[in-house]
Amino acid sequence: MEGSRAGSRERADVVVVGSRVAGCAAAVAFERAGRHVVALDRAEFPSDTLSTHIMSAGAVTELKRVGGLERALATGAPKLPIWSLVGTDGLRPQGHYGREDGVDFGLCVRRIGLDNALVESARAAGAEVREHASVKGLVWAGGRVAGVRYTDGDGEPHELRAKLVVGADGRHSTVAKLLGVERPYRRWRNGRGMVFRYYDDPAPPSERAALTGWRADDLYAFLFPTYEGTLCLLQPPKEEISLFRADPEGMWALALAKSAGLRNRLSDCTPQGKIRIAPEDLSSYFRVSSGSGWALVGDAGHFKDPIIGQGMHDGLRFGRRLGEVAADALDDPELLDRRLFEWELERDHTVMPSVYFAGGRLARPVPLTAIELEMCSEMESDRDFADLGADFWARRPGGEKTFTWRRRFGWGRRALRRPGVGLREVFLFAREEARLEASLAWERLILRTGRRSRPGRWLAWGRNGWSDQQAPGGIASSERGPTAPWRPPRAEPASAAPPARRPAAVEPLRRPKEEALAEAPKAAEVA
Amino acid sequence: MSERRVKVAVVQPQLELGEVEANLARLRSLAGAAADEHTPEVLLLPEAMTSPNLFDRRMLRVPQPIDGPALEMLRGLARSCDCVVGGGFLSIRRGDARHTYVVAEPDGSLHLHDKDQPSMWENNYYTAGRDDGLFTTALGTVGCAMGFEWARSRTARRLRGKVEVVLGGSCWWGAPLNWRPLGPINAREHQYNAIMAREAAPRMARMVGAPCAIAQHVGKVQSRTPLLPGLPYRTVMVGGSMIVERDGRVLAHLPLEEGEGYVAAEVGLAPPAPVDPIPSGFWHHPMSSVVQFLWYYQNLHGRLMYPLNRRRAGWERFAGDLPNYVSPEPEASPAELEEAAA
Repeated sequence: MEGSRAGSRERADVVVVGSRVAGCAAAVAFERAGRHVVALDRAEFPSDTLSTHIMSAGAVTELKRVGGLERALATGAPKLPIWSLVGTDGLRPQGHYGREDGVDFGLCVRRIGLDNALVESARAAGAEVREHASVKGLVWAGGRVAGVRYTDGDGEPHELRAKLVVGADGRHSTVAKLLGVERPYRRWRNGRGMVFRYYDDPAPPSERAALTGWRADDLYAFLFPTYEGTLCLLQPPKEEISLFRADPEGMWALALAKSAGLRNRLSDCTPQGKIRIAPEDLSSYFRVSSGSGWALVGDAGHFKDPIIGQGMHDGLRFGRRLGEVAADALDDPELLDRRLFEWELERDHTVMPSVYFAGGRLARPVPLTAIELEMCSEMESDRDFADLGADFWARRPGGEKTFTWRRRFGWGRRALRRPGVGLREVFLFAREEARLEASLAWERLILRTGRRSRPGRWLAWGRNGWSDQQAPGGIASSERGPTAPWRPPRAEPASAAPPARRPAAVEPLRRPKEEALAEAPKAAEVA
Repeated sequence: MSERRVKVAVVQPQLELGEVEANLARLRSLAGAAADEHTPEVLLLPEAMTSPNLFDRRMLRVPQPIDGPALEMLRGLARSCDCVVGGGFLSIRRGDARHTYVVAEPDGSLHLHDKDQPSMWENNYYTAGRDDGLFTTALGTVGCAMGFEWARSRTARRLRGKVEVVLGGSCWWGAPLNWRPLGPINAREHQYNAIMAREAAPRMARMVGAPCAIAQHVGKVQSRTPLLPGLPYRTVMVGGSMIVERDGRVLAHLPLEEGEGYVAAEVGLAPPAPVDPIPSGFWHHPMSSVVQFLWYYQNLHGRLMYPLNRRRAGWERFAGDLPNYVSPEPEASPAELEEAAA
């Protein structure tokens, strides 16, 4: 649908800057609500970008909800119904996703294909996606963002007015910069870097049905079957990234040497193209993500450590949610601003557990503890628990029961039977777990009261990055009332039905016993 | 991007408490003279142009519906002088009094900004606004600041790097000059206050990275003193209207001693280039302890009194309002827009 032109000023209901995962999800949701959307992107699609690539079943469900699943599957990417961790000690736990909205598999689609599928979905929904469009400035009216100024592929300047400007332009968001909120109000340094390359993969389909992760010493490595090959993604300590830049092939070989299992799996595979290296700084952050007439979705507003592979899930989900909560408020600026703020709090409340899980547990480049080994051991012996772990990672309802205190005490108790494990190690683990849980609970409590969690000095941040949500002089009497503190949603309509457990019909991936035995002595390598 | 030179004029009036019509007439005359002499592209009047903000019962009559004579005067001046005209006044918007600064363009566009926080006794007569005070005009992106907003760090934060020029006004009064037992202390406070007023715009320019222009009130005034009935508060409006380049250079200045008048200067409009960091404190300039004390006690008193004054003055009965941006062209219906697109 064309943006409407009135005189020299062009208007749309919503301008989305950035037309990849989160931007397209938002564009589709607004279009479904009957709003005109113009999405701008500097790139020409199909266009590639750096990414962890992986989508859990939860992310695939979100992809389906925004109408991109069929197109993504049409690329030829295999379904990945199994979630598998590989390590030493003979451990190889495997979990199957539960079924939700007819989806019980993960996916890995090359970004060049996925983003193109999403752009096509957005266009099919009615959004106008303009390529080669580079945003140069914002249009302000009455203290609100009222549009953007951009140049097209020929360098011609344009002005596009809208009731809402959505920044979906990634970590180095131009929109965030123009809004003055580029500097995150919370930030966590990453412990790991990210390096990947594609391989031709002659393995049979039965071996290309799992997302497989290896933990070897301080390295996390993943194999994600995709279309026209397989992606191998390494997450070494970030200090090694500069070494990868200096000698990519040498460092790649060194990393593979840490994991015999991964090396064996890749032995018949042929590398495609060069090794790609993400920047060393992959810090997690929260930016002020909503304000008067604007919102930041996807990595533009919040980014979490790639180790947990939840970026696309959250980009799709909260892109869609933005459209759902804001579409009917576009004609009432005050209501719109409240909805945007509530949307931001909903996002923070939902993503906070994975932020803690990623930052507090997975991102630290250290070998697994004895307690974590016990967890893997339980996953391997208890199929239901492994499935629960898959649902936890997929952010499926019920997945939060994976890490109950009862289970954690059990792991600690059993870990004490391991040689060389003392009470001190168990105590330190328990103390750290308790600290993380208490901190997470406190943050979610703050969010429930209708405030950003730990935004630092309110003078420095707060509403729109410049003042408190309520100006210190007080809200005018006429504006008091309808804003109740945000409450987390009980359940989204689409996920109301309990997930059906996948039947055990799929052949689980089992490693040959010899291979397991061969790896067993390398005690540092653990799932 | 090349720099565009724009001539800005600021008007510094001496106005009378509560004399709304006379004050508007006075300003119309000064603005007309300034426009005739300098033919500026931007002409600024101070905030509180319907009456200086003082603590007095007459202030209850000052706030007027937003689309009243003050706004009409600004709109008319923009059209007749063919330039952007700014000025602030106490308005009534949806049942509450606000301190609104209006930037009117010659084509009829209006941009409104409500002051983010009343200062001291002003709390008796209006309440805080919540908009960002940013608007895109024919000049470029403009940031708006009023009164003590010029002295707050968060103002720099909301405008920094986003605007090509900061426009606004102030009604900045001094310390009491008639409280003889506190003579030396008050004299010192008055000097500190005047220094702060003088440095507010240059500091803001360096922090925001854009030229600034501020129109001030000037002249002697007398107020009552909150919670101290019978004790008059005689002081001066500190004057010092000025136009400042982005690097903090003062291009034109109208000090207290020169009284009422106007000055003009050309500033360069270009993408913002902040120079100074923004302090983490509430004020970007150190504030003396006496002013801090007055700030807190008078703010508290004013906030407690505001609901009473609102009811007493009947502001709550005015439900009308204008959006913060009034377009010169009527909004087209979706059908018309479709037609235009076709």
